[in-house]
Amino acid sequence: MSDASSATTVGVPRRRGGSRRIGTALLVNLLAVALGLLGGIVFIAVTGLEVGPAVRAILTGAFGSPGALRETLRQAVPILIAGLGVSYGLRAGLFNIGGEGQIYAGALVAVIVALAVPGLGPLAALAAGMLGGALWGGAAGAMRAWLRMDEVITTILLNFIAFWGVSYAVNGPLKDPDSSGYPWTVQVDEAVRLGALPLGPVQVPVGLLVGLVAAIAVALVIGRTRHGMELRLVGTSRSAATFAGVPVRRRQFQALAASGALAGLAGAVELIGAQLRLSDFFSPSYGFTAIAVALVGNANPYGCIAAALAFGALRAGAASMERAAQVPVAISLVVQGIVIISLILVRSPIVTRLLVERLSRFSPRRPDATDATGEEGRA
Amino acid sequence: MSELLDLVLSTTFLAGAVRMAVPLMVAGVGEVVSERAGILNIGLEGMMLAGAFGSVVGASFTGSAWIGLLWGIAAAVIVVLPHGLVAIRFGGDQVVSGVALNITVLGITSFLARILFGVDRDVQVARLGSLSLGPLSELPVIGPVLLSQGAVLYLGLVIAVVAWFLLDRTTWGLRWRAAGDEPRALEAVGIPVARVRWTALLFCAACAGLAGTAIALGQVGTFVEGMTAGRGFIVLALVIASRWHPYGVLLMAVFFGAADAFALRIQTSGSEALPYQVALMLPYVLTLVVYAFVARNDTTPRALGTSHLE
Repeated sequence: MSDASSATTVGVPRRRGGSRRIGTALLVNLLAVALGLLGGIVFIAVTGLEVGPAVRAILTGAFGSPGALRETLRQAVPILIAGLGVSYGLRAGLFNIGGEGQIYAGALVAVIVALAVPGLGPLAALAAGMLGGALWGGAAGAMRAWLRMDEVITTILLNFIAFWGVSYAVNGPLKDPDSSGYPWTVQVDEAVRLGALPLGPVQVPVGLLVGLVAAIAVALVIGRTRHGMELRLVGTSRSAATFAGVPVRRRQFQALAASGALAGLAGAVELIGAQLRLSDFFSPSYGFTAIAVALVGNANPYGCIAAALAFGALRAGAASMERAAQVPVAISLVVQGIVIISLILVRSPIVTRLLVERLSRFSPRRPDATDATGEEGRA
Repeated sequence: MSELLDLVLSTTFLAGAVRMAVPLMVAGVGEVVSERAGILNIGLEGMMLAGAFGSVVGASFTGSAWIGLLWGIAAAVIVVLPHGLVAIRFGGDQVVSGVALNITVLGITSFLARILFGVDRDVQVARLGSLSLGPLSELPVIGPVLLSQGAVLYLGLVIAVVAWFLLDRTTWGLRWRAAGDEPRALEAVGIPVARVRWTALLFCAACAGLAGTAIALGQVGTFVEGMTAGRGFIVLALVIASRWHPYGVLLMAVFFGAADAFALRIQTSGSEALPYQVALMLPYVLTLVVYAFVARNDTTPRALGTSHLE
């Protein structure tokens, strides 16, 4: 089973007959997002709730005021960084769906460092978060590489172990003595926090800059280094990679460790940039939205930025809709799920064939056009 | 330590282990059939969650746990349809589709639970009762452990035998296995692979719905958001550990059920010997350990997770 499910480069669109250009990929992904939103609206309508106020509340909550914009950006940060992590794995043909657990693992190590030695500043906390996430992702990586355990199963199981570990910590040794029963730690020190920068009327969280830097770094590593090239080769064809002398197992391990490190970084940024304390309800399924971000972003770091902003708006809007229009916030998960299903559907061999036939009638082929996945064109 | 030992050796613990094993074995048998036919269900978790939710809704609307059971099965079958379309009809990626199924069902069930049951979500419904076998249930040890369990256990055992019989002894099962090993051979003799795979997938979904019902109406008596808590993934691992055999699944399920029951006992007894959060990690740790030992076996259905387009 492990081989069967990972032999393909999950979620990274492949070139079929050279016909996948940026335009087509963008169109296909926008179509999937539109279908997801439509599905969400239909779902709200079917359950007998009022669609108009709900949609208005989402839009107001995501874009309606400087505060709403700030919330959208705030929501975009952890899902961008964790989405970069998912993408990193995808490029090596590995599907890390354990971002949630790696976020908790990263945030746990980060909060320990931040509380123990606040003098080290935010960078130390971020590094600690990456370490925690790398341990968690690396565990799945080692199991994948040397024991042939499918990462789609192990990363999910590790989610629960990380969650209960954090739950133990925030109910026990790390519990805030004055929390009046809440399962959380004390707030991290002022010196460790990431603030916000004013951009016109909008407060832009510093965490967003961390995310943008991470996106550029991931793009450079995957697209411009020998290591990245080898990762992509492992992702495209393991036998070709072996033939080319790439240490396949070591690269698989490294890919999942790095993937986890990014999710851990997301946890650390969320900790010192937004929530300031660790609790056992720290991650409202950021790890799952990260999967949607990576898939809609075509596992391309810059695609992830756009996707994270879109899903950040959805999450912020849905949260405020729950308050304003009494429509449960879980609708955002429904939309994300439908987006992914639509994406798989429109990228499936049959629909691709249909789409390519239709589209090629309107746009003449240009053989020199860049490939859909960006870096792959330069390889 | 002796406190823990007493706990594990008690009859109530063994009975609990079997009870916790029921959803794992039922879903496991379904997944064995589906994977033998070449369809991988990463979305098993979502199907079970849909089953749990459907059964609670059905039971709360009608007041009958048995009608709830039918609703649970129907709910799981409905949510698997998009996955079947993607995996069978369109040849899309089965793993990503399964992940999407999990996310969507988590969203839908949490959403509807909030609307139907309110914010405090404190809905109590009729539970599936235990079957009493008269004097047999009074037998020492084996009586409480095996002969006075919830009806889904016996249903699950029957399903396991039926699945084994179909898979190993009938033309139908031969077609399932061919769809999972050599779909092109099946096509060559003129049998539509898609139809064969659909039957296996729907069988699996019905089993998963039953498993979700066993959790919601057999163990808890209400619906909680995300209440399947990764059991779908535990089942995926134990299907591998059982080498894709229905009887193997039964044995492995009891093993994992014991870990579940242990965690539950620690949590509810307020034992000082072990923090309950550590106990709750046990089923997942155990799954990883067992999986590590079996992951490299080579009895995987050869066409598992691959698409077959005519």
